[in-house]
Amino acid sequence: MASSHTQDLGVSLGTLKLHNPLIAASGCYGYGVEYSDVADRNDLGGFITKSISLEPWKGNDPPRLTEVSPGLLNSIGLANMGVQRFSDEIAPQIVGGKAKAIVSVACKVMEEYEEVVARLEDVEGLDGYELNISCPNVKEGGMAFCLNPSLTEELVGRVRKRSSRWITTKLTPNMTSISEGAKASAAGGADAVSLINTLVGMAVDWKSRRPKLSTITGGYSGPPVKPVALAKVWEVWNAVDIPIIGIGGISNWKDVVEFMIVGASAVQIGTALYADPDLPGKIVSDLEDFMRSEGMNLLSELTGSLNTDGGAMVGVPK
Amino acid sequence: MKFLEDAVVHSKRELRPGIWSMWLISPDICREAQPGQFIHVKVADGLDPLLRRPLSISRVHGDQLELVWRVVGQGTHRMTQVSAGETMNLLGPLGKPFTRDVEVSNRLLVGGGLGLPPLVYLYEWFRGQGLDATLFLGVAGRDDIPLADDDPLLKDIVITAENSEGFRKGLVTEPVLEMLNEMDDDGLSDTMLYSCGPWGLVNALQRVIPHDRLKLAQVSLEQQMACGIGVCQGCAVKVDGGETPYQLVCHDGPVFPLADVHPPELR
Repeated sequence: MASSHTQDLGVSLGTLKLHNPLIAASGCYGYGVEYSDVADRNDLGGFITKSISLEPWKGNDPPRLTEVSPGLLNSIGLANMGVQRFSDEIAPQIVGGKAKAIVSVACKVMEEYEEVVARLEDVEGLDGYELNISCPNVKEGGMAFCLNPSLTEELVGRVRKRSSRWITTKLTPNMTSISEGAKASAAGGADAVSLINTLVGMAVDWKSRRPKLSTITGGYSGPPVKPVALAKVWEVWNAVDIPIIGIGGISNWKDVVEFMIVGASAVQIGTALYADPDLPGKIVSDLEDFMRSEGMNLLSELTGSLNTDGGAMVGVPK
Repeated sequence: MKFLEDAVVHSKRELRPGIWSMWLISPDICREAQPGQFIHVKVADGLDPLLRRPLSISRVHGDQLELVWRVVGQGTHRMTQVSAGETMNLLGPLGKPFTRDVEVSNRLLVGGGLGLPPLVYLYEWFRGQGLDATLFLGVAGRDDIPLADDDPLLKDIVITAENSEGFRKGLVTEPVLEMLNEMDDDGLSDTMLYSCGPWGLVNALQRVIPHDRLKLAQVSLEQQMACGIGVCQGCAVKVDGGETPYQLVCHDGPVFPLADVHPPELR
């Protein structure tokens, strides 16, 4: 492509370099192989697998999801095949491409996080880990590690000792101060932070007076959560020096640009992939058009470029 | 092989009040599709409604496929507003099809209401192979039959209705059971039963049909779905035979052995 010489979409997340800022979010891209018939994984800068635990997890009782249009409420409960099968069957298929292969890890206790990462260290070619410490849909572990910053710091520190690979922590918006979680992650040795995981939400059938999910509450995602996510990224941008990966309702190139402006170095696309599995390729093309029209050479220049000196924008939003 | 295909709407009509049919030109998907598989339909540009809608393939004729649906909410209503000549983005064919590779003498296809469409596809496939099959349909009344009055298939179907004149009164399981009761053990073990319908039908079939004496009894299930492709794990149902107590309708199904399915408690 002739334009690639002038439009550089590459971003840096500390030691991890991506050819573009788009990362498929954990839980929305399976193990990285499922969409291969209909979309090119290498359209992405990276992808994060479904969270892997020490043993296989069966997940929650159905019903596990309901649409709260234009959002999604889910309570999957981290159903996954466990680290052994993932390492043996899946991991060899997902490494070595242009898109960086990052494994999400979710466990019930700290020792299991250490054990899972230790086992994944034996798999060649993986590019890093996202510690999922913010799932709202499991009884043990889950959000507990994120809600208490001292636990976050200890967990990241213990995993850090097991691996020299790149590590990010996935943080929850369901806490008083997400920047405390980000600071604790940095103190523990994380290379980056990912935010936000889903918001705790609920849906009710008024007629039967029953909850629409088996677990009563679930995690809310999709386009409506974007303003919340932008505010959290902006808060964390002002609190820590490590790179931020913005997540929450991203479905087009403008969303990507906005997240980068408020402080994200890269972004994750999640729920929107269910509607458009080939969305990343479209967004890359749109970002190149945007850069051309703005005369911009480096997309990474956007990060943290929010102009707060002159007050709010003037005129009608476009 | 799965495809993401912009399919041109060939035609669309309302079969009954609130029940619609749409024919789409989708050569790649039609080439690959098998009876029992489904399509994940993007009902509108943009993300409102957010999710695709999973619909069973009702018929495949050449490079065109038919989808039949009842309007139940925003997404299914949106589909009624699409005109011939417009495109809809289809993801498919998805899921595991009905098992058809067993040589048997008797094929019983049992549908409940809007569960009929995948069985129409299966029935036409059997007939296309020169094989006999009997298609049963249970509905509350005439307005629930997901076929137009001028559809030639109507005269082939054994229809039971709970509250409409002109049809056998009662439950669809009754004529099915009558046919099975006429068979000896050899006949039963030479019979395959395929079904699709609401949980009430699944419950009834499990309870009254001697499915364990048949060669095969399968049911196609429905569940709320996000990805349609085995990624999100959202469409779990309680079905034996997997590695966990749950299987995914989109990836492990939608067709499952009737005996393995645990219907939710109906209250």
